[in-house]
Amino acid sequence: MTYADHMIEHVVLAQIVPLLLLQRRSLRRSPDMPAMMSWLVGVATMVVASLPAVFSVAQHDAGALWTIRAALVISGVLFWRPVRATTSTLSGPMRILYLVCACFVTTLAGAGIAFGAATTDRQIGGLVMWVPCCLIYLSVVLAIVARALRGSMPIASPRQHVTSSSMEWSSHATTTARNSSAPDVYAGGRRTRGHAPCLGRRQLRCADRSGRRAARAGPRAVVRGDSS
Amino acid sequence: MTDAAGLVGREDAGSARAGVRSERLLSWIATVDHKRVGILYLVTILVFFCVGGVEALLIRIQLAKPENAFLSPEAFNQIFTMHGTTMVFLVVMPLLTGFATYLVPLMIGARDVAFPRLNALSYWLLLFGGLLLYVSFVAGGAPDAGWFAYAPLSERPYATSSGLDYWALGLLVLGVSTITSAVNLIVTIVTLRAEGLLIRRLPLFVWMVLVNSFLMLGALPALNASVVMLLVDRLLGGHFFVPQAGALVMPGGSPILWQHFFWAFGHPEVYIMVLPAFGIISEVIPVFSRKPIFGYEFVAASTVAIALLSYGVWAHHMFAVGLGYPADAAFSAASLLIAVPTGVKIFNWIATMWGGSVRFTTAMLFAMGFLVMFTIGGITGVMVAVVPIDWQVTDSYFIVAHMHYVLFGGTAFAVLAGVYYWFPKMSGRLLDERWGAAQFWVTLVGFNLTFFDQHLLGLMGMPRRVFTYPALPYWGALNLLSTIGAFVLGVSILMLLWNIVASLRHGVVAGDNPWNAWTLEWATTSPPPEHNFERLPPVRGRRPLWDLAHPDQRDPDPADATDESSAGASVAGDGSVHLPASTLGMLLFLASEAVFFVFLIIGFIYLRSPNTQRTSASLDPAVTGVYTAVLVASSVTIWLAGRGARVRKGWLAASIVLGALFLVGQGREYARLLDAHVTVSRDTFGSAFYTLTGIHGFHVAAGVLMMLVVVVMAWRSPKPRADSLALESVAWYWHLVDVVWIVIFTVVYLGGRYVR
Repeated sequence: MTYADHMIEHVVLAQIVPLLLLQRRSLRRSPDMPAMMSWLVGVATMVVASLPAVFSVAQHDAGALWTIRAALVISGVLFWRPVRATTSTLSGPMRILYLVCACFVTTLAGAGIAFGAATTDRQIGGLVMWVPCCLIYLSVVLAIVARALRGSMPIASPRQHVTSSSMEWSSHATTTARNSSAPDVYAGGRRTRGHAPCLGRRQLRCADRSGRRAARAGPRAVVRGDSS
Repeated sequence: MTDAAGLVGREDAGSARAGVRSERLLSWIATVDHKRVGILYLVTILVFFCVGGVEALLIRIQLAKPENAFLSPEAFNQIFTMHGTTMVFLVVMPLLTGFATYLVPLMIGARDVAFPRLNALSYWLLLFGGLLLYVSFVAGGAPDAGWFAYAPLSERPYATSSGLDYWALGLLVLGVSTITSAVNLIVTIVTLRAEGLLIRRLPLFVWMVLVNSFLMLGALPALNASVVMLLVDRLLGGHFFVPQAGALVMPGGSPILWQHFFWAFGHPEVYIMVLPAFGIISEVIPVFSRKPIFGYEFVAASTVAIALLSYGVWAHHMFAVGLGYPADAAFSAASLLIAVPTGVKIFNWIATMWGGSVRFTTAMLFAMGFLVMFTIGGITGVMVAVVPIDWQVTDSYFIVAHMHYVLFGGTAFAVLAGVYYWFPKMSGRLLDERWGAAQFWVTLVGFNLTFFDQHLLGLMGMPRRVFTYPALPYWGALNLLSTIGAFVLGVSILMLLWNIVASLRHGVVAGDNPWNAWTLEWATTSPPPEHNFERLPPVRGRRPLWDLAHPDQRDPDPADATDESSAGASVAGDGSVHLPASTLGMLLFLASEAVFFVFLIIGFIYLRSPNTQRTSASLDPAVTGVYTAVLVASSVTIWLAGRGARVRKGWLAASIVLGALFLVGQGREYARLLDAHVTVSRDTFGSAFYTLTGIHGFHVAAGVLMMLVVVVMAWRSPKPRADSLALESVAWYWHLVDVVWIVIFTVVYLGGRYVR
């Protein structure tokens, strides 16, 4: 087994397998270990197991090899539990910090191995620890961010408001009335390019025209306006 | 609105009297109002932009024809270095900070930034950092090693004038300015949002400023660390980046280390320079398309993806160095990957316009110009992310063209859109739209005339940074075209300046919300009063002013349901951080400090070699171990000092004594080492050791001073709450200093001895 294979195995055992195992809800119950400990165990195991010295031991000793594999899976589960826990002690920003710090450390270790390496095999090994491993962390970070941004509901909510131009311009009168002190930029001789400005006295005509446009476009106009 | 007219009138009257004028000048100098600081930023940057622009024109005049002798080679080197440095560090980066300083508090409905005085400090550091850079012209020659100052060209033996010292010092000051403003903006956005303005409802500009500020906290320390090392090399005879260690023939430092460190900063920097521009575009396009942004979540989340990926792609600037095929392949893949979230954003903006009622205002024209120009820059970026293409075109004018399409076609177009969009808010008057449209077209033509030909020149093999070139076929003609384009571009900037001056005097009065926009900054007068808002509209979605005007067609908020059912829980899960602003600010600052030390420690480890074994053997881990214990004990005492409701002055005094004792120990060790002729200039170990421990020692000294301040505060002030808050921040700082020392002790004192 080459060092690069060894590192690919690490990523699979310490990241992907635990993430899949944690799909089981029973494993995701609130972690009984402080998050900082989980982080230290996970990251330290990952880094120590990738040391070239440890690799050469594992190459010759099947017992050591299987110990390392088991350690990676167990520490991986411990590492990912606070992030995937159903009721976690970690808030969203802390989960992001947790993963970004892990990414930082594996980047340092991976870059150290890759750039300090004499052989292509070592280089690839270091890069595996660095790039794909970090990408897994970052994907989960993105999932957390995305969830926070859209609240609890799916991205495409079935029914959205209609923002087609006709709706907006026709209801524009209220805004203009409210900001009655605001002068009308477009009506003030400052013509813009494109279609005629749609404020003030011209409003009626405008609304009329965009209404026609909407009618011409048919039902598609509504679909278009439906974007969130 | 009448207020705005009154304000303008008052200003006219005020300028009549000299006394009032000097008072007004003083009020600008002493101001801590984020709006005034923001305007100071923008005006300063406009000046630097014009200086950088003149430098660009000088470059283009020299290159207008083959074998030109308008500038000497030395002058040319200085001018292109200063053009690049000015535009990156004094224009683009602070420009976006300046916009953010002005706009973020307004957009989140706050009265000011979290730390107004720190905000003013950031500005003044920027100004004086810039002046420091420009003093070099009269102090023996400007820097002349290019904006990324590759070692060893930037080292003392090869850059003999003091120009690069000014470059390094100036950048250090600017780096500090950027970090302080990043901390300030993050704390502002986290702690001062209006009620109801949850993180997921932030205007995209604010969101991007938030992400960008984190990017700065992670990236700028890398620059600061490498610039410190360069200064040690240049001023103290260190060996970080000089390949040969002095007169002795021994392996010295590593020029490649400079490249790694510089680009570890430099690539996130590219995104630092463009993310807020994305933010501006994401505000302008929806307003002038009369539609909410398409895919808010995607635009926001992909920004985070870009920010995180940007740390992992720096070596694509180094394909020609010879890092090895696997490294090249990995960085190439990561660089291609980062194009995905960026590319999809373009589609988000196009989809926002799709089916909307597009108003072609000048701001919108520039935003659309941005879409096209930035896409061209992005596509050439994807091209050079492919290793063989990069090998072919690296250091040629192709790269110059690519970079300018991103930075001018991208950022500058976006910023111009922002200028036309927010100028009415800042000044109370609209910029003239006819001049604006004319300026847009002149800019577009001038820009493409200048830079599109440079793609061709690059493909024909014209290298960057040459002061002249032979009369090869087409080279003269294309360069002449490019020079003509540069002057057209210059004219377009003059048009902008004229438009600003004329509109400030005679522009149409804008009113609160001339664009009928939706974010909170338009809910106050133009310009806003000093306290920003009389009254805030309720925020129940991403477009509060739309919701206000159309109560029956409110934007649906995806989490409305959860908000109403479990308001408290959802706020906590939304990312609210329950920390005092001062503590949060300190923690963010410490994060950047930690990154700074990580880079110094990497430098130390990288430069460790068997040849320096003898020097490192002169350390005495046992004695230093005792002082380490002293420092760790001081962390315990400061923790004890902060445990009560009031600051316990006794424990704090004990921490001060222990900290001072550590400094004494370090001083004694230095004295012993210097006796043994272990100096900064002896070898790489000496350079790295003194830099690392010296900077740490400086931090300890600063910590001791801070604790003294807290002791005095605790003695004199009647407000125990303020003291405890101050102590909390100082304690966090002190703990970091301790942790860093434990790492240093392990790596420097124990690592060299027992691990090897």
